[in-house]
Amino acid sequence: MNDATREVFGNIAPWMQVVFFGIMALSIGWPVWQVWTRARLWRKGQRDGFERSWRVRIQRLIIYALAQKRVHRKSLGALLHLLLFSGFVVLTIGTTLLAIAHDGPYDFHHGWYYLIYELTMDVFGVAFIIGCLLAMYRRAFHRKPSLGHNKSDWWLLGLLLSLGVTGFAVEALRMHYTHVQPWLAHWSTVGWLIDTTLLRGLDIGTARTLHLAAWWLHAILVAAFFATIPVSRFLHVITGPANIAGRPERPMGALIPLTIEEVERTGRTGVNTIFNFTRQQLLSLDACMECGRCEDACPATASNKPLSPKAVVIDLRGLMSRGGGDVHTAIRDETLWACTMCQACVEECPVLIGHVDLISDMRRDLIGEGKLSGPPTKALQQISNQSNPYGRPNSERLVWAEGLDVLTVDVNPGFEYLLWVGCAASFDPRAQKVARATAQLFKEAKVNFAVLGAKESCTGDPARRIGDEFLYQQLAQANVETLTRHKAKKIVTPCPHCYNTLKNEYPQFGGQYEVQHHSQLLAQLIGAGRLSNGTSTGEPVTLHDPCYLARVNREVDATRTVIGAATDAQFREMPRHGKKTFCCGAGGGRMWFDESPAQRVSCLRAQEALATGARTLATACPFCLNMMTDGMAGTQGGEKTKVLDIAELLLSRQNAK
Amino acid sequence: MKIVVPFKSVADPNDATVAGAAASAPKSLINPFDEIAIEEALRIRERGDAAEIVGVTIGAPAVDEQIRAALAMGVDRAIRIDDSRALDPYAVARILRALIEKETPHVVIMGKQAVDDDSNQVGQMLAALLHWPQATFVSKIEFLENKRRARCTRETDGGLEVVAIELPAIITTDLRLNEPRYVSLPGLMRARRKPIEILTCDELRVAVRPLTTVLSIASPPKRAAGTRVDSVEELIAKLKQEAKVL
Repeated sequence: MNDATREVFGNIAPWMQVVFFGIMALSIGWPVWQVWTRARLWRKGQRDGFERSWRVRIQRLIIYALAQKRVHRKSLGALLHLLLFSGFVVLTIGTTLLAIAHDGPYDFHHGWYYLIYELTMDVFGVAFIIGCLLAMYRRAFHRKPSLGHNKSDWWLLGLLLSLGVTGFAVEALRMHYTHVQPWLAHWSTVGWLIDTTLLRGLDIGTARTLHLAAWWLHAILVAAFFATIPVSRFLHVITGPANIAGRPERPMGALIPLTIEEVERTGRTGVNTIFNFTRQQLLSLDACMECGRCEDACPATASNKPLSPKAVVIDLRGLMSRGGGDVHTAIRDETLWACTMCQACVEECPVLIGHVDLISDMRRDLIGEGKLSGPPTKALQQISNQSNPYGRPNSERLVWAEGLDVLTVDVNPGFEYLLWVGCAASFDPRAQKVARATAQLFKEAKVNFAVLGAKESCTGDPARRIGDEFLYQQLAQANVETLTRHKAKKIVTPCPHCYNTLKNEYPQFGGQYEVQHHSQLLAQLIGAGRLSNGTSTGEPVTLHDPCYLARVNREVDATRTVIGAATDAQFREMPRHGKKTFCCGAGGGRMWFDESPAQRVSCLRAQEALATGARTLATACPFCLNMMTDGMAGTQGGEKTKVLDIAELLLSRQNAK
Repeated sequence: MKIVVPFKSVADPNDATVAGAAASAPKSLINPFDEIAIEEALRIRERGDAAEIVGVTIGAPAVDEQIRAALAMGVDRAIRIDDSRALDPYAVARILRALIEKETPHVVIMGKQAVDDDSNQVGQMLAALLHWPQATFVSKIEFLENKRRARCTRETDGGLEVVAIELPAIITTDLRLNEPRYVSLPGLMRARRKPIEILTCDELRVAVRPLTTVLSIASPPKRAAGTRVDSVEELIAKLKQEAKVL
């Protein structure tokens, strides 16, 4: 058994081996040089100053690069990628091991190791070929529009396929002319099958010649493959893992603060020319292989707005390749304003590209350069002057609570929970009912809570996401001061945007609180038996997960717990739910932009909700509530569907008793 | 071409009640119609038809905040006529005449009215005092014949009226002329480097005294709460008997 092995370079004359190693050196040297040239472009970017831990990097590489967490799903694309990826990785490692065994000090290429090696290489070689064929089939017959495609992709796939096929041809021919013993041959299954079927009766001389030809063809194809890596989609095999490891670790919902000193030093806010992006951001542009998943998930793309996250990445990459320049020559302003910052693209991207950060950085520049006009400017001015985007005097902040005896922090300084109402639930007549329901439920559960009343102002979320970082910072600092003054420790809010900003962004300004969304506290109260369960049944209910709760802050259970407690009616999920929820259209400051009815994301979402057969659409965000109410009203068959906040749903259960 | 844009600092209409009794000290803004005038001047410059935009306002040093906002929008330089008196439209028009005779612009663009007193007089009076043509309530401006004339579309009660006026002229802006750009803090910071010239009425050789005096200001009566009706019949009955509109 221990003599089980095979010849290496057996049919290759020494001079040919020299030529072979020369070609290999060139074919590896060229892509290394090319990638180095790209890396010089990335290095023109800014340092982001984030500390990166090796533990996190390695963890991420294991999860996202090796285990390909973001690639997996029930789709042909995912399957074929798994086959290609595993084939590629195993064959590359195998070939490297062979080189080490052959040229290294200790030859371990024999015995059981050899047998398992041969079998493994054959299995993954087959996987690789099937992957290629499936990829070709998919590109030929089932190509989704978002998948990047050009004619050269056929050459690339052809190259991979011929690599696999010639590999097996070399194996079979070698086995043929070396007369491998059957017990040994079985381990090289594919080679043995070819040898015993196609090559039967072939004379040894011809086999040797054919082997030499196939071997050289295979070698040249390998060289060609290496050479195409830096100039094709294959680049992602290098840049993908590099970006996965290099992306700074921070909450999805926290944008990066800008300092006024930075603005004074550089004379700009945000990103104006491509090299104002960070090095990691520039690298991320090269990590994209145009799989199109971001585009498939994008609400702006789905509602025919001039934005595709994939196109943003590709256009910026093109600009970088041309040597740089003004980003606004590559990306139109309307494109940047179309983003709802719902993070669906970021959640999808297999190589962890941060599309929303790219867009946010460019929006900041548009704001700095005075390139925003129309309704959103009014919202920003009102946030600046009245501390809320609705333009209402702050003295009216408690109008929603009329007759409810809700105490302010001044009257009840010993509060346990601070109810952060948020501007929408304070001023929007529809959302005020959510604030009322929330307060009533808290009272019922005997929660010791208080509100800031006139001392509350906008968290700054819309300002920050539209791109006015300094207006946001003014509000954040003022709010942190107010919260500190009133010794707020636990904050609960019915608005996922306030929740996200208070929880993930205020720590940047020294505000550390235990922040809960009202769904979380309500679920907790239900669990503790402080709120009873409803037993009424009725028409089926579905839930629209707010992006900034479910995706950005990973809370998908609390809302469902509240609905379960509110009613025994059947609960039906929409196809896009939980972390994969689909935006209502209001995020990223889009709430304050004009939108033509034909481009309303909420109508698409309303159709999706109606298709479940549910007659009640629950949500947990005042903006989603507003948008989905409009969406239902504007959708055939949606007029009779009730759109309710989970707190309203829970409250109605108890009133019905 | 040189454009002068006179603008007024007004209390934020969202903030102040008509009687001036705001909950907190009202914030000030550039009068929204004047902001439209500034925006239009900027757009004219951006398309290459103007070389310089001069912003002018009358007031105490407190209005420098609105001057900075105008400079941040893109006005090249600003003049503040230091006068903290409550001036009536005729006084304002006379002060502006003196300044315009000094600056000799090709066109003056200003808001059709200020949202605090809604007088809607200064543009017209200024045109009369200067003996210049005027186009008021303008929603579109085009320059003709190598900028010797302007074609202005006016929003009137009956529809759109298009007039051609000889330059120099006074143009007052309507709401639909444009949507002004947003000014952020970094824009304001950059505008700090731009010059603000301070002049007085004495330096301009104008002596003004008010011809009108405001006697009183009262809030409109509060609207009574509505009632919800359960059926169309009830609505019709109420409209007939209570509202007496049917």
